[in-house]
Amino acid sequence: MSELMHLIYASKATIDFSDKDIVELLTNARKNNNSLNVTGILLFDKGSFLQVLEGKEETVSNLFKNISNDKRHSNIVKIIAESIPERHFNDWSMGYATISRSELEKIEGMNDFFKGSTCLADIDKGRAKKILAAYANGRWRIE
Amino acid sequence: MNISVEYSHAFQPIIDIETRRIISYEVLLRGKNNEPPGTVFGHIGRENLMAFDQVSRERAIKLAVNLGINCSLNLNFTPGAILFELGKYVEETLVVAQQQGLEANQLIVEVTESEAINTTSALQSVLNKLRRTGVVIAIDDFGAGYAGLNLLTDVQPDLIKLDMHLLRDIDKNGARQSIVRAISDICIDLGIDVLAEGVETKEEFEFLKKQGIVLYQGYLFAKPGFECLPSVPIQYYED
Repeated sequence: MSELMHLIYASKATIDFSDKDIVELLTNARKNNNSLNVTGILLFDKGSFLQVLEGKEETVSNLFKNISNDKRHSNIVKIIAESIPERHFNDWSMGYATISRSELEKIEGMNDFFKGSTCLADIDKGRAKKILAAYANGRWRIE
Repeated sequence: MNISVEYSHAFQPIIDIETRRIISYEVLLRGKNNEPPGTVFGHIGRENLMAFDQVSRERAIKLAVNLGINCSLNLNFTPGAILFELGKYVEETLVVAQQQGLEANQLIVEVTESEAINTTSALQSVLNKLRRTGVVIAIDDFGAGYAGLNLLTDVQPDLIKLDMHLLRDIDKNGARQSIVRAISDICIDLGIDVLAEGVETKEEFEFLKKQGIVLYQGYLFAKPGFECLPSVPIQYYED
């Protein structure tokens, strides 16, 4: 039986991400996570990432290992890794703090987390939502 | 197991002042005429304790359902009962709850810390297994005895119940205030809900509200109701 887990981490960008870099990151990660059946959310604000990954235990653990080796970020802090009864996210998407609403609507997979409307409210209550709410209030910025 | 002692249960409400609802009732063991739990335990040998607790929990679930419960139910488990056969008692409790028409996420498993847990890694793996069923995991009496901050490095529950001694006269006690502030802060970071248990005075309640605590249980709101599900006066819900 394949058990579901989620893993939540925060990290610090090591390069200056341009808008183009962000869109590239989003496109690649979305494709990759889709093929792995990994759902969740990646948030980027002022050089700091927070990501929730949901999927089969082995898939998520391996993916996190690969992510940890990615040179585009460092100071990776694992916040939570635990079993879950079901997924809280339908797909994998990204939130980018400094994007404008008009740009946001053009990009597939870009969510409105930082624009404060539906994204956070749509997530089922539980650990991931609570940690995302903490992030929305300025917590878990890794320096 | 042959236990002749007669017993029953009381239920104490837990409220959420934000959603203005009773979110759960904690199950409390009582004698058949509402005597305190000690009078029941006095009749049960140590060797039967875990098995008795289980029978008692299952009976409490049936009673709560008969009383028309439509929120969650907090049930106490010792760490030993959680670890026993890798969570067998919790799984059996869940089966009974589901037979009675409750959902897994209506069961709040309170890990009651009466003794040191030397096997946090074992507890961690059993709790993780239980998480898959959808039950909610709570740590009781947090901040007292063995249920301290170090426990959170291995086990991150969904909910902690602050030990009532930390809350007593908190409006007048700086050390308690700063400890509760620190615990609340940690719980925001880790996505853990904080419940203030054993709140007795309006002053304690007012202080805790200012700290952002939204979950409460205690005499101020409602005493445990013997074989009934007490309500809470509307004045305690935030306006």
